[in-house]
Amino acid sequence: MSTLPSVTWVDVSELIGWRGHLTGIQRVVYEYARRIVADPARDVRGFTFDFAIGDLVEVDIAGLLDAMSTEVAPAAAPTGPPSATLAPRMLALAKDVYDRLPADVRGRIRDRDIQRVLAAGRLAFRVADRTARIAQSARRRPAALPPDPQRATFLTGDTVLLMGRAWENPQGFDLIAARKTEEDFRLVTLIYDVVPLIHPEFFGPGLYERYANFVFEALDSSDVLPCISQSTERDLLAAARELNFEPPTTSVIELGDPQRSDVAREQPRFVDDGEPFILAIGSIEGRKNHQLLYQAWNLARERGIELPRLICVGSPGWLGNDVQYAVLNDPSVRGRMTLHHGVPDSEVAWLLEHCLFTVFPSVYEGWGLPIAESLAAGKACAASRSSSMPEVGGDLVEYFSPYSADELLAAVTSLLDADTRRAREERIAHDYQARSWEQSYSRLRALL
Amino acid sequence: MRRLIIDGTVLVADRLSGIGHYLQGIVTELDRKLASGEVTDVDASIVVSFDRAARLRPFGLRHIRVRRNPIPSKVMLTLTHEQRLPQMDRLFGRGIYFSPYFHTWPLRQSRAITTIHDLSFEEVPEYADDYNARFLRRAVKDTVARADVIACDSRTMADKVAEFYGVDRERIVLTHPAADAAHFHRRPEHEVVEVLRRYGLAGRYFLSVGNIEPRKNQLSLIRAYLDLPQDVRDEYGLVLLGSTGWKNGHITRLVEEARRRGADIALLEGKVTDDDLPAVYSGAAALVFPSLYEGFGIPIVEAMMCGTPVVLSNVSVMPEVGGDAPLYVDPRSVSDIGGALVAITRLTAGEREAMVERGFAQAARYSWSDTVDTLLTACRAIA
Amino acid sequence: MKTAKRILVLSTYPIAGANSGGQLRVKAIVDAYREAFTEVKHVGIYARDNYPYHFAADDIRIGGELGAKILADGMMADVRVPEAIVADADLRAQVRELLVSFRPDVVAFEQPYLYLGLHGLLNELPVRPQIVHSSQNVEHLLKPEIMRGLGYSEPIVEAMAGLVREVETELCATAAVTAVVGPADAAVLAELGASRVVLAPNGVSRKETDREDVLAWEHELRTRGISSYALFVGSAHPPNLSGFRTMVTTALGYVPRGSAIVVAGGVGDMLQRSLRGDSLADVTAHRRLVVAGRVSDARLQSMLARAAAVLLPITEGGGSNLKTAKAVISGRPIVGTSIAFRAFEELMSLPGVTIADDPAAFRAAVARALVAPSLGLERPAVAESVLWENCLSDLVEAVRAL
Repeated sequence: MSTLPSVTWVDVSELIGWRGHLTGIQRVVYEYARRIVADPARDVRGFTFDFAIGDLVEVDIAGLLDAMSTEVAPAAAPTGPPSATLAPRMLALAKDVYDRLPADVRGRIRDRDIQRVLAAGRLAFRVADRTARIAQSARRRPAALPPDPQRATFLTGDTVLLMGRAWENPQGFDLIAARKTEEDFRLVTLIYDVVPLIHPEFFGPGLYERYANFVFEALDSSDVLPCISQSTERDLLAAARELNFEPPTTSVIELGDPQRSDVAREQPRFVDDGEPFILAIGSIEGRKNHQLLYQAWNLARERGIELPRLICVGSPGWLGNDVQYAVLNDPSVRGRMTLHHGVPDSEVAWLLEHCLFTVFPSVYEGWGLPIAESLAAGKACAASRSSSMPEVGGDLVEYFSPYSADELLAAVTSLLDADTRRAREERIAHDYQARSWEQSYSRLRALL
Repeated sequence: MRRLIIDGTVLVADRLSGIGHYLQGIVTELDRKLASGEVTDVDASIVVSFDRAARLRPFGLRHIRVRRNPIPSKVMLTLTHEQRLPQMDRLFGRGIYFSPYFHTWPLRQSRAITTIHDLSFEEVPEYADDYNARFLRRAVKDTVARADVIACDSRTMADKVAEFYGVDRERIVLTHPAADAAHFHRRPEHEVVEVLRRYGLAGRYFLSVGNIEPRKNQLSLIRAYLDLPQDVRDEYGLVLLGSTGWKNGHITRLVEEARRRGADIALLEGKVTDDDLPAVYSGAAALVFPSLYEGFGIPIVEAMMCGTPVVLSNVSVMPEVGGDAPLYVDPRSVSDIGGALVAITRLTAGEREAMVERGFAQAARYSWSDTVDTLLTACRAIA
Repeated sequence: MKTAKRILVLSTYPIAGANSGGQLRVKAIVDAYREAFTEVKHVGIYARDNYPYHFAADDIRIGGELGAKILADGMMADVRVPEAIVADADLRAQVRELLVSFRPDVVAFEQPYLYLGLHGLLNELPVRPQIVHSSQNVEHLLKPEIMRGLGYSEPIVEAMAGLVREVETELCATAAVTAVVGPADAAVLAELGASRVVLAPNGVSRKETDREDVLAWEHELRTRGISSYALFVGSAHPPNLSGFRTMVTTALGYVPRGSAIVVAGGVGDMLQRSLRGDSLADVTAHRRLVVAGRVSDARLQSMLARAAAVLLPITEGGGSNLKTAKAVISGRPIVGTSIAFRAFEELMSLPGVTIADDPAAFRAAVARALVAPSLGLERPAVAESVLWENCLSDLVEAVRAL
């Protein structure tokens, strides 16, 4: 056994291109990475694959996480949008000026003029808000690799943790696997899901083959494969059997709940005060199944059932165009079901606080963070019962088949009943065991 | 008067390889014997391509004539590999042609003595460059058919050549490489310290000498060293001399990273000059030579002549060259090598001295004078 | 010691440049006769343009209009040639000259067809030679089947079947020795009237490896990072592919890193074309699969010589399988099905042979072979029973006794 000190290597590829808003996978990598770095028993180094030189290079992980923490941590100094901070002051100032005008001048200023000025002011502040938002994200530059990076060399006894989308970089993954024949290090590969192999119809051409080869390599060279759900673990073991692998060493580590509730809330412009609505969080892509929501809202109309507005927030994704088009162009749905991209965390937090309940009809998931988010916020949730979702929701969620608009409608109408909903919320408040990142990390740590 | 014509190509290569040193030893000693009048019946010349003739000057040969080959060196190389050389004695006259490098020139009516250093391209092709291996297989088959005398570095190799190619053992002579005693001897402490300082080294260390390649097995040595307890590693570093170049990205990275984690390993790529080498040997706790296959292994003798104990593989030609002087190890066993390293650190002064003495005695069996005598005897027998 | 006998071997194809099963068999028989008898001649009688590139000086190559007519008849050329010998005066004279000048003691017919053309001539000779009938198949059953498969009309097929049956029957009755490839054929021909039936199964010849090619192959393996492999050799024959897919599969997770399944022969091409883009196994197979395609004899020997295991995943087919014979003679460890060893039952228990009929067991045996060091196996003499010289010894002795 080598008597050199060993190192824990963390693949930070997902964080290198970070631009201020964390995607799902980036959040996971960030949460685990900062806890690993804080572990006093470990010598931790970051690494990534540098395409310019075709080799693995070191990355200053502590520095990278520090740069991110000031932006990512929700408790950081909230600089509200200009309309919130500046507008009241300017209004007060204008009023002050108006009051000091000589009476005959005041008399000549008509109501209509004042309205015009106020409208112009409101427009100006809308522009200022948007500009401020853009400026803020521009300040968060992606961490760039230095021009002459230090090569990352894993030695016997080290631990290497992969948490990113290794299937998008087969060259890098193959290199790590090849290095394993030179030095005997422990390779830990986190598996989020195996969906591209089970539902290739939801992904673009070429992903099936890439993902299949990633799974093969992961099964072949990893010492342990933590999975984010039992469903993922089952799927991975099935793939291993199908490929005639010996059963791999797996473990289930559940993800921590999202922390959006700590963000300062901001009412989105597309919602009026007091307007009741149901909320769906999740990228607008085929797999997330907004198509079924659309069907259900139509079904309701056909049956003469009045449903509140459905607000869907999420970035656009693969195969989401059809439902977008339908929702925008179907006159019977317009306004009743709306889709919104690029909604900032602060507004999502507001929506979560003010919605009646949430709905998550995804066809297949590796985990199901929106369900956890909903329960953590104390809100009832109607969700698909496939794959990992029952693990997230337990018995606190109304389930339906992702293929049945009828079942979805039944779940929604059930939760529309105020008493049912209230009882549900009480149960959630009482029974929901929040999942912390600490717990999740401790399960991962045991595998390193 | 016998005309001995030597193919000097390896002496004027960009870098003096092991074979280059072999020829250097032979021609230097032959030149000396001619100068002193010890040898009078041989007219010796050395052939090098005209474009590199100037490179012979540092060797200071006075009594071996330099013959300029009109064919430039790069063209000679191509013609050699493509088997399209002309009959070289048409250019340089009838005589006895000596080649130090496996390959025999086409000759019309001359004799040939060709050296076959080892059969790595047949026995361990996985450690050889494929293109070169194919060339050598062809060249050696041809040499075995045409050469009058075959010269081998060791008895072990001579036996192997005889067995592999069905060659009559009488046709094979032993031209052992040797080390110049005037150069390789124990250097005083102050010289050692000074030389080490120039290379950024200090303290005690295990020494490895040889090209960094899988056949030389430095990886096992490095692993064995890294497995040593911290306190041993604190006291003894590891110094690797040799150029990197062939299939050794892993070792370079490994050494670099091990250093970052506090290991005292130095990889000096081709940086140590021939002049400084004896001092580096002298300062070493031991030469560790875990090679998997050799034709001879001159560092073994060099180390012994500098009074340095040797840890040596027990395979291939090594036991023949090492005799009873070294500490032997199974080169494929990292723990074996590690055990030997520890044993070296625990030698009493008396035990160490005894090893060193045995080394001196063993090294004394190899001299350039004997080798040149053997060569000249062979010449006399065939012409 | 060679026995003094004059043997004339006749076939409707040359044996120069032999590469088909039939040609190789005749060549092996001629070689075996040459070892045993003093005067052996082989003459191929065929349409010249049927075999334009390789021929021997002794061959009777029918050119011109007659040759073209024979060639045009495709599957019936076998019969047209002897018909031409009967009908065409020049050709007949050529054949008569051959018989008269060579004065054979024994005329050995490879397949029955030529007997149609020669039986008259044989009777004309002062001393009628002994007849040996070497049968590769039961022709009157096989020929019609092939013709139907090629689309010949039923009346033609039936006429042909009748004719072939006639000549086969007559030859069986006349022949002093009838050689068959397998026991099943022996029964059929005995029923047709064959009196002395000997078993002369197909075999393989011992091949040497070319050291330079072995080293080149090893270098190729090293370049690909492959340190051990299991070899499957097969022609582009659907049962070969289905056998592979059933037993070896393309789900190669059981093949350790640094090892591979190497596929040589036409089956490799079939396999690659059959890979599906929506199959988890098929899209990852390339990681552990090397498809070498058709390779030279020398390379095939090199591949056999260095294989950790030779695979015989044969799941269907009757009769003896030459793949099995070649695997056995290579001396390498074998993983095969019991079907693969049909007609080689006595070889199933050789050291290094693992019989596995269950796909999972087959794969487990392959995985074990890939990690175990390849031992040079001592093959007892019984393994050599697959060599041609041993397969044909009974035939040779029977002819010697004539």
